[in-house]
Amino acid sequence: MIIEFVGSSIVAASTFFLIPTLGEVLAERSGILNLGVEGIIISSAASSFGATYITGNVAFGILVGVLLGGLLGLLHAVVSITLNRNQVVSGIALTIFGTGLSGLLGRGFVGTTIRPVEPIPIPVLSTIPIIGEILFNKDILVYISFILVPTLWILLFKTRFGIKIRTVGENPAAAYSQGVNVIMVRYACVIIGGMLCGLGGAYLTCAFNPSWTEGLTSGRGWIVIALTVVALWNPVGALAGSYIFGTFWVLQFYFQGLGISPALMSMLPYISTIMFLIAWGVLLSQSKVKRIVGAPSALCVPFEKG
Amino acid sequence: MSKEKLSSGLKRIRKFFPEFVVKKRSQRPSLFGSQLLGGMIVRIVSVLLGLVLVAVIFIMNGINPIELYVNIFSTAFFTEYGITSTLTYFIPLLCISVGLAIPFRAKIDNIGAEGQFLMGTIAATWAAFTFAYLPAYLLIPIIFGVGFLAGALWALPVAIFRVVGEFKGSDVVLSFLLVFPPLYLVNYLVSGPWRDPEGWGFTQTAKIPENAQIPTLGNTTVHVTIFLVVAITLIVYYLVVRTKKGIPKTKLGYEINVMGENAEAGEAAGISYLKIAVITMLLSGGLAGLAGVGELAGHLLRLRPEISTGLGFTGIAVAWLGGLNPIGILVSSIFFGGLLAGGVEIQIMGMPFSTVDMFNGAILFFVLAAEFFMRYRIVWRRNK
Repeated sequence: MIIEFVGSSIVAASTFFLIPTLGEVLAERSGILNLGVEGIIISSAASSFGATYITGNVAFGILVGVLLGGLLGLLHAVVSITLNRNQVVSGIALTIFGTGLSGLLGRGFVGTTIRPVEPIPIPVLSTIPIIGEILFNKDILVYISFILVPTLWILLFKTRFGIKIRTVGENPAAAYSQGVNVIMVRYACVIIGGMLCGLGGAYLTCAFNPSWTEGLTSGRGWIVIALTVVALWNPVGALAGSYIFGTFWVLQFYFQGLGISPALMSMLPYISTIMFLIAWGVLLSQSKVKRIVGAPSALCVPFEKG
Repeated sequence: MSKEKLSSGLKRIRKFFPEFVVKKRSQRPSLFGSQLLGGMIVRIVSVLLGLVLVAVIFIMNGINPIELYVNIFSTAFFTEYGITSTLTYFIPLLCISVGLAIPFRAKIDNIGAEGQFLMGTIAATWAAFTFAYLPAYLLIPIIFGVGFLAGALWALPVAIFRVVGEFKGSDVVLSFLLVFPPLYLVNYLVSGPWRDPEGWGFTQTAKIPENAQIPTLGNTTVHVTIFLVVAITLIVYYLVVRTKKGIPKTKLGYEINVMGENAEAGEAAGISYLKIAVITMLLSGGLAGLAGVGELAGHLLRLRPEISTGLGFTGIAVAWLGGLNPIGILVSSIFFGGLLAGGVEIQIMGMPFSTVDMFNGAILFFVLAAEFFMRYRIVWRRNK
């Protein structure tokens, strides 16, 4: 019983990390660093919750969150791509703005409840002992995340568009000379990335933890940025990283029960991510596998035509 | 819709818009100050646009922005409470933002100022209690020094990672992640080992000893650190930023600018990126820590989780609005201080305080966008 319960929690928590990470992987593969992830997630979380509360229709609420995510992503895209400005600052501005926006959007809904997304057990698979309960008796957004991983992988590595995306991220000048519309590709990736972040935020308040308070994400959106590195900019890596992180996240609550101070345990996911980043940095400087392990070469570099 | 139809449709739309071409200005005005008047006008416009954007969003949410803005402004600058509140926010904000300007000029992104600030407060609390037996004129400088050191050391890994880390933005991720351990550490300390024994169970430390408390001006909450931070601002300006005809007059300022503009050229010229990164981050973290000391020993007088109010992040917007120039930052700190002070009006109108962040973010966006217009001209050319 307890395994199923813990496992279920891990899947639920990890999905929250997985969906936005996939979005950020897509954006960064095209060369745009979107640090506004936290702002997008929390704004979408608030708006989805509010929209669901008002209309009573959770699907509509999720849609609102996704669209808002795309809109906020568009904002970042305009400043980073067309205006060619410093992507780091633009992302931070988006985070700050989004956090404030979430407070505004959510203000009427603090402490209210909605009917969240219901779990949908998959007919045969959910009867498998243990695994059935953990993996196949979850809500639709979790299933969407399962599907997104191979979809994104195929998109990035097996389609023409994926090649375009990756070339734009590695060497946009070369891509441009080959006739690829660098601007369009980047816009598409950032906007879709934003929509996925929005979906993650919607997941948070409509499925995972149906409630709203100010600052609900407590900075978890930033972990997505680190997770993109952990994922090695690969959807499968995103799956692995998100689940490892989700495990840490869930386990920290259980360790609290053992009498270890909660504050110290809360640090654990962040410290482990830091450790990973350091180890990865060291690994990278020494190895010839930079192409596999490293970031897209044109990441965060503004692209100027001609 | 097939691909061909989509692109030909787009082509037809383009025909209707006069084609415009974006050309780089031949004489690139430095963002950091030589086109002073133009820069100021652009910044003021950015602020106004930010206010307009937020106003629109307020209207869409059923709130009257005019009433709100008037309330904020009048509270912040025309009431006694408001002015002292503005100045009290101004002190740490100025310190942090001037500190942030230094690495930002070298294109090193320190977004962990909040964490460095907190490390400063922790170190200051420790020092205040440990050395409580010392007289004030010794103790206060000691806690400032300790706070500076703590913030600086906490910023050091970011510098190293910036140089060694292989992906752009690695310093950003690391510096942000480094915000969390101090945050949780404060929580841990004030609810456990450092908790005030007579505090009725509140999660806070005891009041720091009298010797460690920074005197205030009159009955207000404005503590004399204000003079210190203004002095620091001027010093940083003099030593790092001061330029003549666009070229910084000090070696350090020059090297920072070069590494910010073109790191490879700088390295080829013999400037060590690591040295610049380390110096700028140490200064930045130190100043953030210093701000923390001020908040602890001058304002709150005890350590509590609430001591962290996101100033480390607001400081980013403040620094950029100030054009990464300490003198400009002086002005933008007053502005943002007023915004925070007047922000209490936002709460009175029923919105959470964090809504103030919308102003920060929107203004930052427009300042950033405005850079574009300062560096590029748009040339309109009618499509044949």
